[in-house]
Amino acid sequence: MRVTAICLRNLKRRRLRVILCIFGITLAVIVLVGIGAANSRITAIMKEMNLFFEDEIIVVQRDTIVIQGFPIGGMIPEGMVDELKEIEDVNDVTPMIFILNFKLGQTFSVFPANVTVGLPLEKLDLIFPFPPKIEGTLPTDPNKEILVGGSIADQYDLSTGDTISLNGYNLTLSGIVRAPSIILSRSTIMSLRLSQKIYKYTRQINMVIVKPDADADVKKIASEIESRIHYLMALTEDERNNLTDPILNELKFWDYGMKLFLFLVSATLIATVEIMNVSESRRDFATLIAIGASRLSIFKMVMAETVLIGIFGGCLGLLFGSLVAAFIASSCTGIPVSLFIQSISDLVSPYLAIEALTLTLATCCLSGVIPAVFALKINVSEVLRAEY
Amino acid sequence: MIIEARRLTKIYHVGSSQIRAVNNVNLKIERGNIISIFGSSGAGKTTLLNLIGLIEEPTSGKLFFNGTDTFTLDENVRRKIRLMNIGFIFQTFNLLPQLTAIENVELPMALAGITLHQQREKAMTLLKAVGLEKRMNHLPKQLSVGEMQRVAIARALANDPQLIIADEPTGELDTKTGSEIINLLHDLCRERNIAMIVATHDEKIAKIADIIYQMRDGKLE
Repeated sequence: MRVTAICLRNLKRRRLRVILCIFGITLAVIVLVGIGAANSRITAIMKEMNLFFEDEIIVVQRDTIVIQGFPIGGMIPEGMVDELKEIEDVNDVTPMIFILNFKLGQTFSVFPANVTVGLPLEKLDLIFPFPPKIEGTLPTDPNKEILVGGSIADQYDLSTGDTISLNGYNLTLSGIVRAPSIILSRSTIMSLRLSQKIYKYTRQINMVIVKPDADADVKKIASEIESRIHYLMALTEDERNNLTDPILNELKFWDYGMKLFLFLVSATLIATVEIMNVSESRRDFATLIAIGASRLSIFKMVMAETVLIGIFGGCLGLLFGSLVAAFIASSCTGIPVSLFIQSISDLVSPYLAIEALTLTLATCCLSGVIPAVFALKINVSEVLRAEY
Repeated sequence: MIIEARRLTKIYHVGSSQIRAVNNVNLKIERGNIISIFGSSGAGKTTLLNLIGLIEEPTSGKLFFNGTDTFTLDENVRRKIRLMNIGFIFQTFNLLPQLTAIENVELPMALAGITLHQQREKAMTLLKAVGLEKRMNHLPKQLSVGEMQRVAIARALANDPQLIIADEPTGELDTKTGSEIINLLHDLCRERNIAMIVATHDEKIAKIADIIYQMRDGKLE
């Protein structure tokens, strides 16, 4: 007989209690994975935003909410671009429209379901911080050709050459962007003119990317922009990071808090159940020690039981937690759940999965120590005598 | 000489009073001896057996196992002596309820590090010897009390011990089954030249022994 076989039989013998304990751990892991996946997706999006427009200044309307380089709303007259070009040490200026769409079909979503980017077609490389794989070609006709991200194409079963209708305009899909980027995979990319026409930004834009000269003082240029045109806000890369760091820190804080809470609740649950198991098995342990088992092997048996509970709970939690994460992401974005399930490893990263399983096993091991020590300290003669 | 107890004493402290459960006991057990300790409940039989079985430590006195003073030894060495040289039979059988009959018999061999194949082979032989070849794969709850004690006997013999310690082995059995069990134990010990010490309060059971001791207030007479 192997120790694990005895432990499995022990668990089977107290199956109702063990199933409830595994259910509790499964729930904890579901919360850990479900919320952890949503949390890490938001963090990943924000971190990914860091990769756009490095070393460049982003100019938006003053008091607009900006997440990294991207504004939510705001409006700037397009003519302002020429004025920015005249500022000393400015190398290049690119007008751009960036729109977060919170509506997908008829459904409103909590998080943006997709993103529209409009910019001069000759400057498309500005929004590709990763080398993208383009199925088809880049748009050449600024009046009707567009690119869409892979996730949107998969969702609506689009292929290059298809005609799609957007706000009443018929557009031709010249290519599909396949990039390891959550933002680009949900983007519709088109010429600035086309985006102005579709979204009624007549001679308006909502952001400008300012590229400074090679050795120019970026802060000085940003200050110059803000002092010259008082209704604009110019953000350097450092300032943009400073805007998002508190949000990322807050997310991390809540993530750690949630993990600690789940750890304590699960540890208490497992320790309670296992102490009950050990109390009921005192005679068995005393018999085993009497016939020659070492106290260490008893310790190992109790630990093995808690680890088995952890493995079952952890695996089930990971499985159901991934599904819950997909449903949460779907309900928040309006994107069909099947799309998230197809690429579940993007949502629940291997790192998160390993972290959840490791945390579960660590919890089980630590909470198993108390009942194992309890089993270790059994007074054999007293227990055997009590049974007579 | 397998066992030699010299002035073995065990005192329990209950509150402010002292209880001499075993009082200056001297005892010798040779290979193949069958000894019974006869006495009423609370006479100190179980405590004496626990001391001889190296489960408890005495308050004073010495216990030699094959000439070695056992209570000078490390607990781990005493455990190995128990595992390899002593077989235990309890009044309430103390079978592991989650294991089948054959797995219960295999247990001491598994603890001794014997291979799975050898464990299975020997356990089958022992269960045949106690007449349970057809009940090998039954759980204890599926066996009668007599069958459970037979499994316990097979388990006690698993590592070919030199000594069997049986504490009220028939206490839970009816008269007929009790006498069958004690006769089986007697015959198996005789066949294998194993020493046995049986604690009982039943005079008929005590009479199967070569030497009968009476235990009263912790003293052996």
